[in-house]
Amino acid sequence: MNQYQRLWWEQAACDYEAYDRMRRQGFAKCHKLQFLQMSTEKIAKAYFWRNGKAPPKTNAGFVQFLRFLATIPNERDRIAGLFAFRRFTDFQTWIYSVQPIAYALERITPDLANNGPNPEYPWPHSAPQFAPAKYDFEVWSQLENSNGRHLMRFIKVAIEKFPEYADT
Amino acid sequence: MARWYAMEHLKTDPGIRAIHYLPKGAGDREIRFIEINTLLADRTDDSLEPIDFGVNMGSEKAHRLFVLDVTEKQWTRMESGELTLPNGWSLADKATYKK
Repeated sequence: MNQYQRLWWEQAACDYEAYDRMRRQGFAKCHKLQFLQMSTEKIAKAYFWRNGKAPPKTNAGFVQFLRFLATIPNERDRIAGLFAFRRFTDFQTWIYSVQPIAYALERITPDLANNGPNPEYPWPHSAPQFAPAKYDFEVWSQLENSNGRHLMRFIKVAIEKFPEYADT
Repeated sequence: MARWYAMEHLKTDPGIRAIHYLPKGAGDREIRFIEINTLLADRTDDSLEPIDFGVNMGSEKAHRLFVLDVTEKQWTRMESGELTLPNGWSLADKATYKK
């Protein structure tokens, strides 16, 4: 792991810890989603810093992180094992099934929400009709189903075990 | 190797409709992809910056995979020349992979 990866990893872990505390204390969905999304974006950027070169600045990245991790040419069994899959092909199939939730999580950032539901600002911008505070985000429902819960566990493990695959 | 990566990406991401492999101008150990993605949020800033993913760096097998995800609309604009490709990239001689 290089110095840049370490910094992004530390911030991802810190954001995830904030999310986890909010979850246990029953904070509003908007705050939980914001910190969960930020942690996924940052662990993705930590991974993409592996060449010592800055990844794109965009808020996107988590779906690409999943895609790259699921298509690495080396150490496939070890990577699958880190995430509790016995076979790499099972890991790939699972990634395919959760990618729509990952895209939905990525799309809630204000920059990508296209003037729609986001966890930070009332929308639409010119004549707000909704506030994040009491909004029932669809992606949260997706995160509570079976695949979504599995994705949540994956995110936790991806952050906790980052040093074990950061250079893979 | 480009075909292998393309098929792997198509297999693991339901958002990717097609992958264009752009060999023209790429280095010997460099693979450039434009991945047309139906699940990607529409972008308004049109900042097109590929992810640079190095594999086996520092070894004999070292190579770099550059991936640029674009929406269908962005791809249409790219084909017509309205949207600029990343510096040094070209659509000439492209090969396309689909599911």
